[in-house]
Amino acid sequence: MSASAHRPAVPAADPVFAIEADDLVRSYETHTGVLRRHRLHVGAVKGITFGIRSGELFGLLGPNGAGKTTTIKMLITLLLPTSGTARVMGYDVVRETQAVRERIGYVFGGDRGLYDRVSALDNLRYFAELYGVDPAFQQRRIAELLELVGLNGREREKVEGYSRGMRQRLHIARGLLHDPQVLFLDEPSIGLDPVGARELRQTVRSLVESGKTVLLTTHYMFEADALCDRIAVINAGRIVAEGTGADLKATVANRTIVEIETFGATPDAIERLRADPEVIAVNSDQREQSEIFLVQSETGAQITSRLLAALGDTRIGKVIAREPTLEDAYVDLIATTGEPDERSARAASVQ
Amino acid sequence: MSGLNRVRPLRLVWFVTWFNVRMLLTSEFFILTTFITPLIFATLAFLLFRSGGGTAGQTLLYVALGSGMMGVWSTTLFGCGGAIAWQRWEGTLELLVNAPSRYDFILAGQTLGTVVLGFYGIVATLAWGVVLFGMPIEASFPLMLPFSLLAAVISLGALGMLIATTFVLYRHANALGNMLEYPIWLIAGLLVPISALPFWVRPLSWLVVPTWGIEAIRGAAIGARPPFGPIAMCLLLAVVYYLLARLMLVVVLAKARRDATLTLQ
Amino acid sequence: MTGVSISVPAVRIRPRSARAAWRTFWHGGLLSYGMLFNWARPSIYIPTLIVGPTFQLLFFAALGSYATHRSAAYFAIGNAVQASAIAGVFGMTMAISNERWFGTLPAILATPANRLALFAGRFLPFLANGLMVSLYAFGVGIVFLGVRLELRTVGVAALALLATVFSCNAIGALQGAISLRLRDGLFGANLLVMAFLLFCGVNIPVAELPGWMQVISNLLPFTHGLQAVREAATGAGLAQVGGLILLEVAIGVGYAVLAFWLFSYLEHSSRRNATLEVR
Repeated sequence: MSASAHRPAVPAADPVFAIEADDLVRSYETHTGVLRRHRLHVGAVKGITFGIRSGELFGLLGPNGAGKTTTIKMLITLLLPTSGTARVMGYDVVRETQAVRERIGYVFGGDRGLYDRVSALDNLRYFAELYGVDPAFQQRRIAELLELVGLNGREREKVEGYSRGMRQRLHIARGLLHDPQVLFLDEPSIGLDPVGARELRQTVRSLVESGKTVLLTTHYMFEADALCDRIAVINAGRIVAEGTGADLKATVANRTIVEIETFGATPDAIERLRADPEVIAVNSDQREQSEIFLVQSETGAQITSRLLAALGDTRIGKVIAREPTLEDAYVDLIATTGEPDERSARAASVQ
Repeated sequence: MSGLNRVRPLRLVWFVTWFNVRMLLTSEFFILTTFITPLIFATLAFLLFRSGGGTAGQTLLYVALGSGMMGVWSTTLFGCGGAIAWQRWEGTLELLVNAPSRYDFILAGQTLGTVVLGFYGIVATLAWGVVLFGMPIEASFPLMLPFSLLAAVISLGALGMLIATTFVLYRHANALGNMLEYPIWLIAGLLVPISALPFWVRPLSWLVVPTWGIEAIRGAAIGARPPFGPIAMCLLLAVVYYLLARLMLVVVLAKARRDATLTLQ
Repeated sequence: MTGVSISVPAVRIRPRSARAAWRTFWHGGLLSYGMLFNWARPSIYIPTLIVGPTFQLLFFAALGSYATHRSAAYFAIGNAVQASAIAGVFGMTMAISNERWFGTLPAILATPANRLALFAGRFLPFLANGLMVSLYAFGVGIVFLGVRLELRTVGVAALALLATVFSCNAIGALQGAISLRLRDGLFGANLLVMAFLLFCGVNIPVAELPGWMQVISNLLPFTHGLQAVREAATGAGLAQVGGLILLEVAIGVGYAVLAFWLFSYLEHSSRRNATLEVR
């Protein structure tokens, strides 16, 4: 599959697809002004289409505010699309909500969303009842899940004393209580420390190995790359690229990245770099002492001296010419596809 | 000491007072307690006395002032009781304690703002009485009234500081407030004269400042003699409560540092 | 967390069965007490629902018997029943609106659970709790304030009390549903329990209130239930107060239906307008 913003053939009730979204649009109405209220339609999701096969781990990757959570909320029946359709396990998310809800698990990140004052066990018991898990199986099921997420032995402690990581694992256990075929993980690694995030990735992988379909959203590029079979990059409400990590890398494969560390560069320095006709894109990464310019071109390393000349008397530190990484591809995608006025801000926030 | 340094505590108290008032006014619970509850209880008291076929020998003004003072007490109790706990919740307590300014000035500012707002309760119940029940407004010693009010504010402020520093030892300040609202309404003689309560309650009544605060105000408004005695008691108890509050503050801050309880996490 | 593979046999779920609805109602309802009731710990429960109401009883008994010709017991009974209203209104408000505080609403709404069973189950622990609080307060009244209950009709009084607790819980549930949208849910709960004090015959007989206030008295829960408790306490049987009890239950059902309707409406409108978005 090529990494472009093309649409896959619309999967008509094809059972191969566990999740299918067809031209999903969602806009929010906001009001501005106090006396004269102006209605404002803000598009959060502006027409996205994708299909996720059974047993696939699909990543929706994008910066904060790109429309990831809105997309998930539509797929899990909590939000109606403004237009477009979506199906989960063949059931329509607008009309067949009950059938969809029985078949999906929903896990979100952050430390909210749990009943803090009672034990993990009570949290799980409660949701087991809400999902109608057969009472005869409940106890065993909860024990198995506690073991799966490594909370066995701590299940009688109040959740308010749990660490971020433990809370996240409890979220996952809750999402799995009814053994759903499809799992939605909305930024599950938010706020986790590196060890916790690694453990989380292992769990997600084992879930996919056991046959679950997983849709995961993240704004961490490396997480998407490490986990996902396929990645869709979403920006400003649109899918701007879709494919495997390798596919995405291929979009910038023929480019060279020149990293130039500068000290005290003036604001117009970046414009001078961009002025070079062979430069494709320049992104900057602000560090504590320095600013690093990432210059993409198809010229190869020989462009370096011209770039340095363009920077004039700016103090230069390390200069590296290298092959592009997935991160470069991602940064490039986000920087070139956002709304014009958002581009620079977005590019700066993806790091 | 330079002139600047001498001005600073006053400026600080003023700033903190103003800041705290603004914070309080964002709390719906505080607004309810301070601005709405006194009117409900005043109505209840007016109707209750009327249901008794008179005012049990008391004037309408007696009822209005008493129920106004009930509001002052509630505001002091909940406003000051939650002051430190609230800052701990917001995460600003550490910053304030570590600020170079003396923390008791900051605390005084916070308490003062709360109590002054609380006295709105008296104004409101007076207006309520005039509008709904045709209550006449009169004062036997109008010139004493400002002094009575000032003494009441100072004494409740000192009590408020003690409440603020004591309640912080307990995690649920509002629950303590729920517990202590009615008993003070009762023993301070706000609507039922102390003389109508069992005699053994009297020493307790004498120890709480709302008793003397309402005595001072009622003395100026409907009393037979100028209320010099109650005013003096207000000021005396204010000094005692202030010293106790200072002591509690030292204890609480030491404990907080030892147990790392300045923040919630 | 290790990479344990999942060897679980397919879990059987039957969320649409009557049994699942029953378990959501009963087991889920009972669990909700600890999950959602902020006051379900001694450090809050005792000051707020034991000590506070005790002093409230004493205060109004002293004030009432000073200001009027009625006995302290009259005020003790009124305020003892009102104690259950405090527990019920605040309890149910929290039981519904604290979903927002914990951020659990998205997780709840993503389940296929029967919404009516989920909602109705929340009443269970708070009915029991309201009864307990009120019985304790009656105890205070009996021991200290001269409350006497006619033994012959004490069962009727208990029934009337249960009806009152139910209808107070129902208006609490409505308040909870309202505060799923509005910010500070306890504002309304506070206002309600104070309204009970003023309008519902706790301290001032409804008949002595101005006419416009009596209209409100009759629309609020609590008024008729308290009247029934008062009459049963002095020996009125089911034949005499049955009508009042039924009226109280009917008002309660009215508020409960309204509350559930609002809850369902909010769930639906939230799908359209993201109005319950809390994350």
